[in-house]
Amino acid sequence: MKPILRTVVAIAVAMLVTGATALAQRGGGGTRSSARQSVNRNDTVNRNNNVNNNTNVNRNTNVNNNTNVNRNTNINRDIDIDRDIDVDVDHRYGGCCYNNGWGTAAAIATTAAVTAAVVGSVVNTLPPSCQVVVQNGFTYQQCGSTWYQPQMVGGSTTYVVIDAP
Amino acid sequence: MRASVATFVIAVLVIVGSVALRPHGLTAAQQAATNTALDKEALAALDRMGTYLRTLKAFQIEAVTTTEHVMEDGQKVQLAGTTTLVARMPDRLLIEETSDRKERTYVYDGKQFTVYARRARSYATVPAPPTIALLADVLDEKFGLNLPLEDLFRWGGPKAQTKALTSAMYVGPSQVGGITCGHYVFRQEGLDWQVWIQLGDFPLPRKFVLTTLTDEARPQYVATYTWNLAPSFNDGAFTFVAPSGVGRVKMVETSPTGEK
Repeated sequence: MKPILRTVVAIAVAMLVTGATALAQRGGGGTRSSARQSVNRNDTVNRNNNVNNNTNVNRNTNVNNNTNVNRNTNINRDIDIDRDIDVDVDHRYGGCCYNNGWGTAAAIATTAAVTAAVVGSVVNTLPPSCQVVVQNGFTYQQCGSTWYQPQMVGGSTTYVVIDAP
Repeated sequence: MRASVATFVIAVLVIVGSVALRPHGLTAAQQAATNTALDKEALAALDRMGTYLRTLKAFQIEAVTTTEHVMEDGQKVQLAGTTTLVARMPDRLLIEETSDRKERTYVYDGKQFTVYARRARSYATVPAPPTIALLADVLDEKFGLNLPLEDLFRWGGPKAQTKALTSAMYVGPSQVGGITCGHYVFRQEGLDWQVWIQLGDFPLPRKFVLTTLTDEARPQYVATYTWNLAPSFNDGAFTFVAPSGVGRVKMVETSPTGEK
Protein backbone atom coordinates (compact mmCIF):
# COMPACT_ATOMS: atom_id res chain seq x y z
CA MET A 1 0.00 0.00 0.00
CA LYS A 2 2.66 2.47 1.01
CA PRO A 3 4.87 2.03 -2.03
CA ILE A 4 1.81 2.26 -4.22
CA LEU A 5 0.91 5.50 -2.53
CA ARG A 6 4.38 6.82 -3.12
CA THR A 7 4.14 5.89 -6.77
CA VAL A 8 0.85 7.70 -7.07
CA VAL A 9 2.39 10.77 -5.49
CA ALA A 10 5.35 10.49 -7.83
CA ILE A 11 3.06 10.37 -10.81
CA ALA A 12 1.05 13.29 -9.48
CA VAL A 13 4.22 15.32 -9.12
CA ALA A 14 5.27 14.16 -12.53
CA MET A 15 2.03 15.50 -13.95
CA LEU A 16 2.99 18.93 -12.63
CA VAL A 17 6.11 18.97 -14.72
CA THR A 18 4.51 17.38 -17.74
CA GLY A 19 4.36 20.74 -19.44
CA ALA A 20 8.10 21.16 -19.29
CA THR A 21 8.57 17.57 -20.24
CA ALA A 22 6.34 17.78 -23.24
CA LEU A 23 8.49 20.64 -24.40
CA ALA A 24 11.61 18.63 -23.83
CA GLN A 25 10.09 15.64 -25.50
CA ARG A 26 9.31 17.65 -28.55
CA GLY A 27 12.93 18.64 -28.62
CA GLY A 28 13.45 14.89 -28.51
CA GLY A 29 16.88 15.03 -26.93
CA GLY A 30 18.74 17.27 -29.29
CA THR A 31 16.21 17.69 -32.05
CA ARG A 32 14.33 20.89 -32.58
CA SER A 33 11.74 19.55 -35.00
CA SER A 34 10.67 16.59 -37.07
CA ALA A 35 8.97 16.28 -40.41
CA ARG A 36 5.20 16.19 -40.28
CA GLN A 37 3.74 12.89 -41.34
CA SER A 38 0.16 13.80 -42.07
CA VAL A 39 -1.65 16.33 -44.16
CA ASN A 40 -5.13 16.28 -42.69
CA ARG A 41 -4.57 17.61 -39.22
CA ASN A 42 -5.96 20.71 -37.66
CA ASP A 43 -2.56 22.17 -37.38
CA THR A 44 -3.19 25.48 -35.73
CA VAL A 45 0.39 25.95 -34.71
CA ASN A 46 2.81 28.47 -35.99
CA ARG A 47 0.03 29.99 -37.96
CA ASN A 48 1.73 32.11 -40.51
CA ASN A 49 -0.13 35.18 -41.57
CA ASN A 50 2.03 35.99 -44.53
CA VAL A 51 -0.68 36.10 -47.16
CA ASN A 52 1.82 36.56 -49.99
CA ASN A 53 3.58 33.31 -49.50
CA ASN A 54 1.54 31.25 -51.91
CA THR A 55 0.92 33.41 -54.88
CA ASN A 56 3.74 32.32 -57.16
CA VAL A 57 2.19 29.60 -59.29
CA ASN A 58 5.37 29.24 -61.29
CA ARG A 59 7.40 28.31 -58.34
CA ASN A 60 10.19 25.94 -59.12
CA THR A 61 9.21 22.36 -59.78
CA ASN A 62 12.70 21.45 -60.93
CA VAL A 63 13.53 18.68 -58.50
CA ASN A 64 17.11 18.56 -59.75
CA ASN A 65 18.05 21.96 -58.52
CA ASN A 66 20.28 20.75 -55.71
CA THR A 67 22.17 17.89 -57.19
CA ASN A 68 25.62 19.05 -56.15
CA VAL A 69 25.98 16.85 -53.10
CA ASN A 70 29.72 17.50 -52.90
CA ARG A 71 29.36 21.11 -52.02
CA ASN A 72 30.50 20.58 -48.44
CA THR A 73 33.39 18.24 -48.86
CA ASN A 74 34.69 18.58 -45.33
CA ILE A 75 32.80 15.55 -44.12
CA ASN A 76 34.80 15.27 -40.90
CA ARG A 77 33.35 18.48 -39.65
CA ASP A 78 30.89 16.77 -37.31
CA ILE A 79 32.07 13.23 -37.23
CA ASP A 80 31.09 12.82 -33.60
CA ILE A 81 27.67 11.51 -34.49
CA ASP A 82 26.87 10.48 -30.94
CA ARG A 83 26.89 14.13 -30.06
CA ASP A 84 23.17 14.64 -30.48
CA ILE A 85 22.04 11.53 -32.20
CA ASP A 86 19.43 10.70 -29.62
CA VAL A 87 16.56 11.10 -32.03
CA ASP A 88 13.16 9.49 -31.75
CA VAL A 89 14.51 6.70 -29.64
CA ASP A 90 12.90 4.52 -27.01
CA HIS A 91 15.97 4.33 -24.85
CA ARG A 92 19.65 3.68 -25.09
CA TYR A 93 21.20 0.31 -24.71
CA GLY A 94 24.42 -0.71 -23.08
CA GLY A 95 26.94 1.70 -21.65
CA CYS A 96 27.42 3.89 -24.62
CA CYS A 97 26.65 7.44 -25.16
CA TYR A 98 24.44 8.68 -22.41
CA ASN A 99 23.10 11.92 -23.69
CA ASN A 100 22.91 14.70 -21.18
CA GLY A 101 20.67 16.85 -23.27
CA TRP A 102 17.06 17.49 -22.45
CA GLY A 103 16.72 14.82 -19.84
CA THR A 104 19.19 16.40 -17.48
CA ALA A 105 17.83 19.84 -18.09
CA ALA A 106 14.40 18.60 -17.10
CA ALA A 107 15.81 16.88 -14.04
CA ILE A 108 17.64 19.97 -12.88
CA ALA A 109 14.63 22.15 -13.39
CA THR A 110 12.56 19.75 -11.37
CA THR A 111 15.12 19.38 -8.62
CA ALA A 112 14.79 23.01 -7.80
CA ALA A 113 11.04 22.66 -7.47
CA VAL A 114 10.71 19.29 -5.82
CA THR A 115 13.31 17.45 -3.76
CA ALA A 116 16.93 16.54 -3.91
CA ALA A 117 15.93 12.95 -4.59
CA VAL A 118 14.27 14.02 -7.84
CA VAL A 119 11.50 11.51 -7.34
CA GLY A 120 8.73 12.59 -9.62
CA SER A 121 10.98 14.21 -12.15
CA VAL A 122 10.68 13.14 -15.75
CA VAL A 123 13.50 12.36 -18.14
CA ASN A 124 13.50 11.54 -21.81
CA THR A 125 16.61 9.42 -21.73
CA LEU A 126 17.67 6.71 -19.36
CA PRO A 127 21.18 6.37 -18.02
CA PRO A 128 23.17 3.38 -19.27
CA SER A 129 22.72 -0.15 -18.01
CA CYS A 130 19.06 -0.15 -17.16
CA GLN A 131 16.95 -3.23 -16.75
CA VAL A 132 13.34 -3.67 -17.68
CA VAL A 133 11.44 -5.01 -14.69
CA VAL A 134 7.83 -6.12 -14.97
CA GLN A 135 6.10 -6.21 -11.63
CA ASN A 136 2.41 -6.72 -10.97
CA GLY A 137 1.76 -6.25 -14.65
CA PHE A 138 3.48 -2.87 -14.85
CA THR A 139 6.73 -2.09 -16.58
CA TYR A 140 9.56 -0.29 -14.77
CA GLN A 141 13.16 0.52 -15.58
CA GLN A 142 15.75 -0.07 -12.91
CA CYS A 143 18.97 1.85 -13.42
CA GLY A 144 21.26 1.07 -10.51
CA SER A 145 19.39 2.19 -7.41
CA THR A 146 17.12 4.53 -9.33
CA TRP A 147 13.75 3.37 -10.59
CA TYR A 148 11.80 4.82 -13.45
CA GLN A 149 8.23 4.35 -14.53
CA PRO A 150 7.93 4.67 -18.32
CA GLN A 151 4.99 6.55 -19.75
CA MET A 152 3.93 7.15 -23.32
CA VAL A 153 3.69 10.79 -24.27
CA GLY A 154 2.62 11.21 -27.85
CA GLY A 155 4.87 9.02 -29.93
CA SER A 156 7.65 8.97 -27.35
CA THR A 157 8.38 7.37 -24.03
CA THR A 158 9.41 9.42 -21.03
CA TYR A 159 10.43 8.17 -17.60
CA VAL A 160 9.20 9.26 -14.22
CA VAL A 161 11.64 8.80 -11.36
CA ILE A 162 9.92 6.79 -8.64
CA ASP A 163 10.75 5.05 -5.42
CA ALA A 164 11.43 1.36 -5.81
CA PRO A 165 8.10 -0.32 -6.50
CA MET B 1 -16.85 46.29 -43.27
CA ARG B 2 -19.80 45.78 -45.57
CA ALA B 3 -17.70 46.80 -48.58
CA SER B 4 -14.90 44.40 -47.74
CA VAL B 5 -17.35 41.56 -47.33
CA ALA B 6 -18.84 42.37 -50.71
CA THR B 7 -15.41 42.48 -52.32
CA PHE B 8 -14.58 39.16 -50.83
CA VAL B 9 -17.80 37.54 -52.04
CA ILE B 10 -17.36 38.90 -55.55
CA ALA B 11 -13.79 37.73 -55.69
CA VAL B 12 -14.80 34.26 -54.71
CA LEU B 13 -17.66 34.15 -57.24
CA VAL B 14 -15.61 35.55 -60.07
CA ILE B 15 -12.88 33.03 -59.67
CA VAL B 16 -13.00 29.29 -59.57
CA GLY B 17 -16.12 28.97 -57.57
CA SER B 18 -15.23 29.02 -53.94
CA VAL B 19 -12.45 26.60 -53.41
CA ALA B 20 -10.73 28.21 -50.50
CA LEU B 21 -12.42 30.37 -47.93
CA ARG B 22 -9.32 31.71 -46.32
CA PRO B 23 -9.50 33.18 -42.88
CA HIS B 24 -6.92 35.85 -43.51
CA GLY B 25 -7.77 39.33 -44.63
CA LEU B 26 -6.82 38.98 -48.26
CA THR B 27 -7.24 41.68 -50.80
CA ALA B 28 -9.20 40.73 -53.91
CA ALA B 29 -6.01 40.62 -55.94
CA GLN B 30 -4.33 38.32 -53.48
CA GLN B 31 -7.43 36.16 -53.34
CA ALA B 32 -7.43 35.94 -57.11
CA ALA B 33 -3.78 35.02 -57.28
CA THR B 34 -4.24 32.40 -54.61
CA ASN B 35 -7.22 30.78 -56.24
CA THR B 36 -5.59 30.75 -59.63
CA ALA B 37 -2.94 28.59 -58.00
CA LEU B 38 -5.54 25.93 -57.25
CA ASP B 39 -5.52 23.74 -60.29
CA LYS B 40 -8.94 22.13 -60.74
CA GLU B 41 -7.53 18.94 -62.14
CA ALA B 42 -5.28 18.48 -59.14
CA LEU B 43 -8.14 19.10 -56.72
CA ALA B 44 -10.38 16.69 -58.64
CA ALA B 45 -7.70 14.02 -58.48
CA LEU B 46 -7.53 14.46 -54.73
CA ASP B 47 -11.31 14.15 -54.48
CA ARG B 48 -11.34 11.00 -56.62
CA MET B 49 -8.67 9.47 -54.43
CA GLY B 50 -10.57 10.33 -51.25
CA THR B 51 -13.87 9.06 -52.59
CA TYR B 52 -12.26 5.83 -53.68
CA LEU B 53 -10.48 5.31 -50.36
CA ARG B 54 -13.81 5.62 -48.57
CA THR B 55 -15.23 2.75 -50.63
CA LEU B 56 -12.58 0.29 -49.43
CA LYS B 57 -13.84 -2.29 -46.94
CA ALA B 58 -10.48 -3.73 -45.98
CA PHE B 59 -6.93 -3.15 -47.06
CA GLN B 60 -3.34 -3.80 -46.20
CA ILE B 61 -0.46 -1.44 -46.82
CA GLU B 62 3.25 -1.84 -46.62
CA ALA B 63 4.75 1.61 -46.35
CA VAL B 64 8.45 2.30 -46.64
CA THR B 65 9.20 5.61 -44.98
CA THR B 66 11.96 8.06 -44.30
CA THR B 67 11.54 10.83 -41.75
CA GLU B 68 13.90 13.72 -41.22
CA HIS B 69 14.61 15.16 -37.81
CA VAL B 70 16.34 18.49 -37.37
CA MET B 71 19.06 18.87 -34.79
CA GLU B 72 19.41 22.02 -32.74
CA ASP B 73 22.07 23.34 -35.09
CA GLY B 74 19.94 22.73 -38.18
CA GLN B 75 21.63 19.54 -39.27
CA LYS B 76 19.19 16.90 -40.43
CA VAL B 77 19.08 13.23 -39.55
CA GLN B 78 17.05 10.91 -41.72
CA LEU B 79 15.58 7.78 -40.16
CA ALA B 80 14.20 4.94 -42.22
CA GLY B 81 11.24 2.80 -41.30
CA THR B 82 8.51 0.48 -42.49
CA THR B 83 4.87 0.48 -41.53
CA THR B 84 2.51 -2.41 -42.12
CA LEU B 85 -1.15 -1.56 -41.73
CA VAL B 86 -4.19 -3.81 -41.88
CA ALA B 87 -7.56 -2.11 -41.66
CA ARG B 88 -11.05 -3.50 -41.74
CA MET B 89 -13.39 -0.58 -42.03
CA PRO B 90 -14.67 1.00 -40.00
CA ASP B 91 -13.39 -0.34 -36.70
CA ARG B 92 -10.49 -2.76 -36.84
CA LEU B 93 -6.89 -1.74 -37.18
CA LEU B 94 -3.48 -3.29 -36.76
CA ILE B 95 -0.31 -1.35 -37.43
CA GLU B 96 3.26 -2.51 -37.03
CA GLU B 97 5.77 0.29 -37.20
CA THR B 98 9.48 -0.35 -37.30
CA SER B 99 12.12 2.31 -37.61
CA ASP B 100 15.83 2.45 -37.00
CA ARG B 101 15.19 3.64 -33.46
CA LYS B 102 11.91 2.22 -32.29
CA GLU B 103 9.21 -0.33 -32.82
CA ARG B 104 5.54 0.13 -32.20
CA THR B 105 2.44 -2.00 -32.60
CA TYR B 106 -0.96 -0.32 -32.64
CA VAL B 107 -4.04 -2.46 -32.11
CA TYR B 108 -7.64 -1.32 -32.26
CA ASP B 109 -10.77 -3.45 -32.00
CA GLY B 110 -13.47 -0.80 -32.04
CA LYS B 111 -13.48 -0.51 -28.26
CA GLN B 112 -9.92 -0.29 -27.06
CA PHE B 113 -6.71 1.04 -28.49
CA THR B 114 -3.32 -0.26 -27.46
CA VAL B 115 0.18 0.93 -28.23
CA TYR B 116 2.78 -1.72 -27.66
CA ALA B 117 6.47 -0.82 -27.51
CA ARG B 118 8.23 -4.08 -28.17
CA ARG B 119 11.77 -3.10 -27.28
CA ALA B 120 10.65 -1.32 -24.12
CA ARG B 121 8.45 -4.31 -23.22
CA SER B 122 5.56 -2.05 -22.37
CA TYR B 123 2.10 -1.23 -23.61
CA ALA B 124 -0.60 1.32 -22.93
CA THR B 125 -4.31 0.78 -23.48
CA VAL B 126 -7.03 3.41 -23.60
CA PRO B 127 -10.77 3.26 -24.35
CA ALA B 128 -11.43 4.07 -27.99
CA PRO B 129 -14.24 5.56 -30.10
CA PRO B 130 -16.15 3.38 -32.59
CA THR B 131 -14.35 4.18 -35.86
CA ILE B 132 -10.78 4.44 -37.05
CA ALA B 133 -11.33 8.01 -38.21
CA LEU B 134 -12.59 9.05 -34.78
CA LEU B 135 -9.76 7.15 -33.17
CA ALA B 136 -7.23 9.16 -35.16
CA ASP B 137 -8.89 12.36 -33.94
CA VAL B 138 -8.91 11.32 -30.29
CA LEU B 139 -5.30 10.19 -30.38
CA ASP B 140 -4.29 13.43 -32.00
CA GLU B 141 -6.32 15.76 -29.84
CA LYS B 142 -6.12 14.03 -26.49
CA PHE B 143 -2.86 12.12 -26.50
CA GLY B 144 -0.72 13.95 -29.00
CA LEU B 145 -0.23 10.70 -30.85
CA ASN B 146 -0.25 10.61 -34.61
CA LEU B 147 -1.61 7.35 -35.87
CA PRO B 148 0.69 6.19 -38.66
CA LEU B 149 -0.80 6.80 -42.11
CA GLU B 150 -3.78 8.52 -40.49
CA ASP B 151 -4.39 10.57 -43.62
CA LEU B 152 -5.72 7.45 -45.33
CA PHE B 153 -8.71 7.54 -43.01
CA ARG B 154 -9.39 11.22 -43.50
CA TRP B 155 -9.32 11.68 -47.25
CA GLY B 156 -12.83 11.80 -48.59
CA GLY B 157 -14.18 12.39 -45.09
CA PRO B 158 -15.15 15.42 -43.02
CA LYS B 159 -11.62 15.89 -41.68
CA ALA B 160 -9.95 16.15 -45.07
CA GLN B 161 -8.29 19.54 -45.12
CA THR B 162 -8.70 20.27 -48.81
CA LYS B 163 -10.09 23.71 -47.97
CA ALA B 164 -6.76 24.53 -46.39
CA LEU B 165 -4.94 24.20 -49.70
CA THR B 166 -3.45 27.36 -51.05
CA SER B 167 -1.84 25.85 -54.10
CA ALA B 168 -2.53 22.75 -56.16
CA MET B 169 -0.69 21.68 -59.28
CA TYR B 170 -0.46 18.72 -61.61
CA VAL B 171 3.15 17.92 -62.39
CA GLY B 172 2.69 15.02 -64.82
CA PRO B 173 2.69 11.26 -65.10
CA SER B 174 5.22 9.40 -63.00
CA GLN B 175 6.16 5.81 -62.29
CA VAL B 176 6.08 4.55 -58.71
CA GLY B 177 7.24 0.96 -58.38
CA GLY B 178 6.25 0.24 -61.97
CA ILE B 179 2.80 1.77 -61.58
CA THR B 180 1.84 4.80 -63.59
CA CYS B 181 0.62 7.58 -61.35
CA GLY B 182 -0.33 11.20 -61.61
CA HIS B 183 2.06 13.39 -59.68
CA TYR B 184 0.49 16.33 -57.86
CA VAL B 185 1.95 19.00 -55.62
CA PHE B 186 0.04 20.96 -53.02
CA ARG B 187 0.76 23.68 -50.57
CA GLN B 188 -0.99 24.60 -47.37
CA GLU B 189 0.00 26.58 -44.36
CA GLY B 190 3.27 25.30 -43.02
CA LEU B 191 3.40 22.35 -45.38
CA ASP B 192 4.27 21.55 -48.97
CA TRP B 193 3.24 18.08 -50.01
CA GLN B 194 3.21 15.82 -53.02
CA VAL B 195 1.18 12.79 -53.84
CA TRP B 196 1.42 10.20 -56.56
CA ILE B 197 -2.03 8.80 -57.35
CA GLN B 198 -2.47 5.67 -59.41
CA LEU B 199 -4.01 6.39 -62.81
CA GLY B 200 -7.07 4.43 -63.90
CA ASP B 201 -9.99 2.94 -62.01
CA PHE B 202 -8.16 2.48 -58.73
CA PRO B 203 -6.94 5.91 -57.68
CA LEU B 204 -4.81 4.82 -54.76
CA PRO B 205 -2.10 7.02 -53.30
CA ARG B 206 1.21 5.33 -54.01
CA LYS B 207 3.63 7.83 -52.62
CA PHE B 208 3.64 10.88 -50.37
CA VAL B 209 6.29 13.50 -49.75
CA LEU B 210 5.66 16.03 -47.01
CA THR B 211 7.93 19.01 -46.57
CA THR B 212 7.49 20.84 -43.29
CA LEU B 213 7.93 24.58 -43.78
CA THR B 214 7.80 25.72 -40.19
CA ASP B 215 11.46 24.89 -39.67
CA GLU B 216 13.91 26.57 -42.01
CA ALA B 217 15.68 23.24 -42.45
CA ARG B 218 12.46 21.95 -44.07
CA PRO B 219 12.47 18.37 -42.81
CA GLN B 220 10.88 15.89 -45.17
CA TYR B 221 8.83 12.75 -44.78
CA VAL B 222 8.59 10.29 -47.63
CA ALA B 223 6.31 7.26 -47.74
CA THR B 224 5.89 4.76 -50.55
CA TYR B 225 2.93 2.40 -50.35
CA THR B 226 2.34 -1.12 -51.56
CA TRP B 227 -1.36 -1.96 -51.47
CA ASN B 228 -3.23 -5.19 -50.93
CA LEU B 229 -6.97 -4.77 -51.32
CA ALA B 230 -7.82 -8.35 -50.34
CA PRO B 231 -5.93 -8.93 -47.11
CA SER B 232 -6.45 -12.06 -45.05
CA PHE B 233 -6.71 -11.79 -41.29
CA ASN B 234 -8.71 -13.15 -38.42
CA ASP B 235 -10.53 -11.13 -35.81
CA GLY B 236 -8.00 -12.06 -33.16
CA ALA B 237 -5.42 -9.98 -34.98
CA PHE B 238 -7.16 -6.83 -33.77
CA THR B 239 -7.20 -7.73 -30.10
CA PHE B 240 -4.11 -7.07 -28.03
CA VAL B 241 -2.95 -9.74 -25.65
CA ALA B 242 0.13 -8.74 -23.68
CA PRO B 243 2.99 -11.18 -24.22
CA SER B 244 4.59 -12.47 -21.06
CA GLY B 245 7.30 -10.24 -19.67
CA VAL B 246 5.50 -7.16 -20.95
CA GLY B 247 3.95 -4.67 -18.57
CA ARG B 248 1.50 -1.86 -18.71
CA VAL B 249 2.35 1.83 -18.71
CA LYS B 250 0.29 4.99 -18.74
CA MET B 251 -0.59 6.92 -21.86
CA VAL B 252 -0.34 10.55 -20.83
CA GLU B 253 -2.95 13.03 -21.99
CA THR B 254 -1.32 15.99 -23.65
CA SER B 255 -2.47 19.16 -25.24
CA PRO B 256 -3.30 18.84 -28.94
CA THR B 257 -0.30 18.15 -31.13
CA GLY B 258 -1.33 21.25 -32.92
CA GLU B 259 0.06 23.29 -30.06
CA LYS B 260 3.67 22.61 -30.72
